[in-house]
Amino acid sequence: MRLPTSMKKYQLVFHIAVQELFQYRFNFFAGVFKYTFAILIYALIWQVVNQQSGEEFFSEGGVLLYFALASVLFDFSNFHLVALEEEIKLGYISKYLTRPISVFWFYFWTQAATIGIRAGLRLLILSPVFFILFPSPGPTLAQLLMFVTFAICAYLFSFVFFFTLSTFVFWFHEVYAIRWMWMSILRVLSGIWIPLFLLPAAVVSVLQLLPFAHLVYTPIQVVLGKLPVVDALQPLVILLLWTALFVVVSRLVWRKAITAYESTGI
Amino acid sequence: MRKLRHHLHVYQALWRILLVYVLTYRVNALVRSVFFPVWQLVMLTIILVVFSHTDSIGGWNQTQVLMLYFVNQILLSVTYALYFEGGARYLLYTAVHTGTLDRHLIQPVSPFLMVFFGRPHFDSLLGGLLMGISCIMFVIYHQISFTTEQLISFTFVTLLSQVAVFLIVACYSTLAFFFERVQQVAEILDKANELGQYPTAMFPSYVQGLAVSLFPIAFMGFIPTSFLLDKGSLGMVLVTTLVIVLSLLVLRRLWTRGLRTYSSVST
Repeated sequence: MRLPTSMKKYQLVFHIAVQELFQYRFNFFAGVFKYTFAILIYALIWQVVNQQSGEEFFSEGGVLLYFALASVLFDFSNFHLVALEEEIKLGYISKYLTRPISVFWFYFWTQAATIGIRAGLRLLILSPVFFILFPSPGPTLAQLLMFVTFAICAYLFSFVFFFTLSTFVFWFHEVYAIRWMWMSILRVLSGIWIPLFLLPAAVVSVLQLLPFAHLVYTPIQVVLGKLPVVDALQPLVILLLWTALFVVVSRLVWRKAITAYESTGI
Repeated sequence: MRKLRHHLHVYQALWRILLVYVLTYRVNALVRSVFFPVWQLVMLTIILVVFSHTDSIGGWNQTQVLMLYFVNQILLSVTYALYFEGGARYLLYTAVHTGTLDRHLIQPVSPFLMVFFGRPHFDSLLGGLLMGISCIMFVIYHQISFTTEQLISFTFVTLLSQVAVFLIVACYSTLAFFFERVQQVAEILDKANELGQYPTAMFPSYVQGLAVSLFPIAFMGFIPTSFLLDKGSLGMVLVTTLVIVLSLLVLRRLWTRGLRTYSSVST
């Protein structure tokens, strides 16, 4: 299938991003290991709590399975656009403004390459866990498709959000602290660190209206068969609505930033 | 003695310069400090959720785990301020990769000390200070009392553990000499610290083994707090000493070998 010319350049961006990932292999694999390790740490903690509480809120191997799935989904919502922020700070953003390439799509595809490769590798590393621990007969095709759809939507939402946040560098020199705060909150409220069913019911019902839970917790519940595929449509719509809202905000902020931006040279 | 005084003099000057540097970007330092409590709140929430489902983990109750948490955070902030951010991270991220290590090799001060302790990060201490105040308030509120013996053993073991942590971190940092890009090593150590907020005794034995060797998380809270809460044992001191001796030998070898491998042009 031939891609339209406007898309070809982004296909190239994607390819280059993949090649760059493997430029420093040790560092790249250490990076993949880092978050797998970090999330599995929580599997260990909740495993102990599960054993000692007497409540048995997870089945045998259920804790590990939950966090292995969280580990695969992690990258779709946990990333940052530091490179973009640097380019804005140093005035390198001019190169995009004078060429027929969109900053948004350039970073979108660069980030997509990183996430795709990392998530794929995690899936590969953790595949024995899935084969051994997945309750028989395993997830259906509909559940898997819904899981993948959620992952893509989680990326769309997160990318738009982080792009908007990075745009604020035009006004503030540093947005590191805000990003850091967002990620900390996200990791708890999305279910990466705490399976959300362990939180009070009132908190969980509020979280259903926010995007966080649908980035990680909801797709895991779907693929584990704890949430019917049909019932997952509502969370998916909520996530898409949040994405749409941030698309609007992002465009407004970007337009305002670009109007105020000036530089010399490219 | 004269050499030590010389080192102290240089170090004092560096701290003064860095203080001026931090105060140049007051807003950034302030913003980071303002958001620090948010992170603490997130971590404390996890502990509270854990204890809403069980009374104890690994033989530690909620108050003891919270005490461990405070100690862990204070030690972390000191570690970050003294040598992790500006030392280990600097070596792994920049010094070897960009060749700025040259600067330290030609100065009449130990390059090892300059690399690890030459760039302290004061802003990290603000978090530690906040956690220290919180810890004191926590101790007063829960009417926890410590004997002089507990406090002395805690101080001694904390110092001993910190030496062990530093040596292990320094060993990892020398990887910068042998691999092109190793930034993620610092990140892994960073992430491992999240496990240090929980009593190491709660984990399976293989994790406990890792916690006193490859990932020195037990030294970052569990072992010192055990002595503070009168749960410590002689075995813990022996393990810490053994780790210090072994990592010192490894570090010596890696540092010498690394310097021999290192090459650059111009200064």
